[in-house]
Amino acid sequence: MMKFSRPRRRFSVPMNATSDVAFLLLIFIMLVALINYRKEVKIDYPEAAKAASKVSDRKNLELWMDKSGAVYIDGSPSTLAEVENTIGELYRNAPDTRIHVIADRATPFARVNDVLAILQLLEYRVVSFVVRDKT
Amino acid sequence: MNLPAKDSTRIVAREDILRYEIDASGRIVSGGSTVDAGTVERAIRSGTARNPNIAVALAISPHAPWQAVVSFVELAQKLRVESFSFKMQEAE
Repeated sequence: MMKFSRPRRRFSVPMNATSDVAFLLLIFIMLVALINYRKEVKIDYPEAAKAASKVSDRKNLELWMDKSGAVYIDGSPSTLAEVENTIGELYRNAPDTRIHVIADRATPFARVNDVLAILQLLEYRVVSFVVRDKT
Repeated sequence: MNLPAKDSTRIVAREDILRYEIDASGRIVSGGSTVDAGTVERAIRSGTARNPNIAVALAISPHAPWQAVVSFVELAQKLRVESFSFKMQEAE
């Protein structure tokens, strides 16, 4: 009896394609990391015995200032020109948005005043200063 | 808090304005001498008893820490000062 054997083909993965896949994966991971990037700024909130009002407007914009005076819009580092542009956009498109000014208790007043001057210049009136209740 | 419009004006008699300063280290200064928050509170209370529409004007050093400003604003709100304004002092 004759024995037929099928010639076995050796399986191989084309290595040049894996580098393409790895590169695409790397780009994907970097993009996801950029989307999720939100810098947390260390803010030591000023304290007040009783906050004047507690607001919970749904439309908020947070302006943060750390103790070195660096300004952040919703967590992203920004310049004063960008702050002015952002507030100008708000004024045109969503003037009921409440701006929360969140400054570190040690921030020099001059730095806070830079932002207040922009708010005053643009006559933006829906503003809150964020503090922490004294306990 | 509502920020005033940049060109808003209001006429107040000079004697009806209580003026304070916050220096670079965050201390309250009145008439050239340092005062504590209790003294400020008593002065504002007696001022509002005399004239309920008394105005409080605060001049703040550019280097004053934000906490000192917040504490003063808190005091003004606690004493229900109707007319309260603050501005930054010219650079030293």
